[in-house]
Amino acid sequence: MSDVREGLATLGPGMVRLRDRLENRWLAWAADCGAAPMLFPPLMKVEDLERFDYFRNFPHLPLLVSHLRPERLADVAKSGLPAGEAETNDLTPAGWALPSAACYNIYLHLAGADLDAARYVTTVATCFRNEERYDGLQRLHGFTMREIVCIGTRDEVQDHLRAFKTKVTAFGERLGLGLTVAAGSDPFYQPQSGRAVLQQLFPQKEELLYEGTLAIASLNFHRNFFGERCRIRAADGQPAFSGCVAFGIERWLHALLARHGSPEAAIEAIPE
Amino acid sequence: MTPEIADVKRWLLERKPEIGDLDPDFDLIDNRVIDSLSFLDFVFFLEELTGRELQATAETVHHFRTLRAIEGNILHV
Repeated sequence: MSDVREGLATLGPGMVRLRDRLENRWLAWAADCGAAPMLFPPLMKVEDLERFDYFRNFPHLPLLVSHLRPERLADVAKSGLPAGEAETNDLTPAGWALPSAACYNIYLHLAGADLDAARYVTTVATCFRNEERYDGLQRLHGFTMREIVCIGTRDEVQDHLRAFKTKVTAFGERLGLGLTVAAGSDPFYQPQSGRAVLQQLFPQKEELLYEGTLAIASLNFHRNFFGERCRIRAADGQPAFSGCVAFGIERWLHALLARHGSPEAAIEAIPE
Repeated sequence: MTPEIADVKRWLLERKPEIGDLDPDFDLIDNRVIDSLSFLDFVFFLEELTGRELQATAETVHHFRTLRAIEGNILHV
């Protein structure tokens, strides 16, 4: 069904069919709220992520992309990389990063826009995170994230998140997943930091948990952070608010397989 | 406007001058006038202003949300 090695998953045909069935459901929801489907490049510029304080907030997570220095090409062409890895001295400075979340590109795409109404966008991306440990389909080095994003006024974004909380919770109920909702606990934050206190006092993230521990979806209220950083203005002329519902696709596969026993049985359980 | 609330407003606008002005009911949290990094500084500032220790908990957090709430719940208690 699936083969996971060192945090990297290979999905067999049954799992791909199950994944397609889930994606159809989420794309139907995206269409219902008028979300435009978009796909973004598979690499992001380090300087773009820097606009979001990404490296300061999550220095341990990024996977940076480089290539061999021109002066090393002849040697490598002759001998390959027999040690199984490239030495840092062989590499150019890394100006690119692999995405760690699907939605960053949406705000960059809308940078400088004056919106006359709320904008809804859905996208999917293979995301990469350098974790301390990996665990089957539950915690992967590279995984797939579907997001449905609203950029607009505070009320529009909060309505979006509220509507999706209801939809996803009911969907999970129908699939027998028994999801519970919990305030996001972000392990990246230092426990004593102001950020951790603020997260506790003014929750920005809610997670939908399978068996009380595995977050298979999350609802994220970014306030006007991306609107400010990307100079996106909402219809009221103020920096736009944004929020997203995010689905960790491989985690859904894990939960559905655990609950239903096989991809085929799980597919049966998901309405067309 | 009392001198204390004028001090609070000045403190906030020094850190976020692009806002221009602050309506008494403007949500300081959702609009990120106070963000995650400045929140504790803001509480310390209010403690110095009032001469009391302030508790920022889930129950009292709404006291910090707007200038009006700060005036009613923190400055004039």
